Amino acid sequence: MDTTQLLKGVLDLAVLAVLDDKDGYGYDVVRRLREAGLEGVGDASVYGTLRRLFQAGALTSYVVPSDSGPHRKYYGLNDAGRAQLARSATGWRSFAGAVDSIVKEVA
Amino acid sequence: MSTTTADVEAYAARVRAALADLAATDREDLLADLEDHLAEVAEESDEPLETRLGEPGAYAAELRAAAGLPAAVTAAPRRENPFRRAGSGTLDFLPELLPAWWVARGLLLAWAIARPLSGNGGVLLLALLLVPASVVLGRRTRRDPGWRWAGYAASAASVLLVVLVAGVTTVSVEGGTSAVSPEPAQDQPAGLDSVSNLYPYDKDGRPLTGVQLYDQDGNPVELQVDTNTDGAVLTRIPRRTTGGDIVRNVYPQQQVASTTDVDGSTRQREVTPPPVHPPTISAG
Repeated sequence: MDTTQLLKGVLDLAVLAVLDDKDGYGYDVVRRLREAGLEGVGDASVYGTLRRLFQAGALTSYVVPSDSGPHRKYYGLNDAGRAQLARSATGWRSFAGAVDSIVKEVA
Repeated sequence: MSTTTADVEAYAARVRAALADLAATDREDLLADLEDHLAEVAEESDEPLETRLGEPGAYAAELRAAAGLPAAVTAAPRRENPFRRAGSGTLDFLPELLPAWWVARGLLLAWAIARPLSGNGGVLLLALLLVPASVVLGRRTRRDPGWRWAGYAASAASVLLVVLVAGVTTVSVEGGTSAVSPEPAQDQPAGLDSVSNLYPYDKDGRPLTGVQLYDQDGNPVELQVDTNTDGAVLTRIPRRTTGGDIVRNVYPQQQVASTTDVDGSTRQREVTPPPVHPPTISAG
């Protein structure tokens, strides 16, 4: 099944959840999403989502300087972000549960 | 590492171009993250950026969509039609006439150049060359704005040359004709306007009589001037052929000059030959 459409609906939730686990920089978040099984997620989509969530006030951001590598911009959740995550997670669970029960009979 | 800094910069530049319509702050935010991203991707793998990330245009579209920004305006704005600015709907069709001007321009140039040199045949030949050239130039100015000035120059040159050639031709025609008689006799070659009689002499200087004269077209030379240089009115005594027909081209003509004095009396005298002493003409 083409997961692109599904992803668009839940990318905010997935990004918030990843950041709730641990703060991360852009490419780090992409990698973690893919490792969790969302292989079709596009790099640009993650970066765009991070920016939008930040603009919406759900994320904090800070730069970690590095001597050996590039300076990286890290994102993390703030209180508003955590609240949004909780709401979205609840909404997702009930939605996924409903879909599950509908397709339960399918082999 | 095969992905060079140049590749990263090139990719970033193309993404930047695709985001050009955005407000500066939005664009700079997106691009700041992009450069970090590209650096990470480049470090991770040797594959070209486009393989890993897709086309810069597609990346930019996905990025701005996920960021909640509006999609880019699709088509580049049409080159503005200069006549549209005039505001009048009736002038809108003028750009469609441009190809006709290109053809006309070539013809005008051909006429201006070839007409003075070799007449209408030369004009036709030169037109076969210049009309296609003018059309090609016109099409090129449409595609490539750099050629516009060449097009303007060609148009200006064609108009100027035509005005110049037409002007010179008219002046030379007007300058050549004498201003003396507004209606010269059709059959008289130029120069007989003041001639009232002709006196032929042979090569030995002896006067001839009964000489019949014809012009280059075979017309008999008939003098029209009815007054001699003194102002006396001339009466011509016509000669006749053996058949009795009057002929007016036999020289010298027998003429009588009449002068009217102030008191009203008229004097008449026969016109005599002028006192000329023609030289002896060498043979050949």
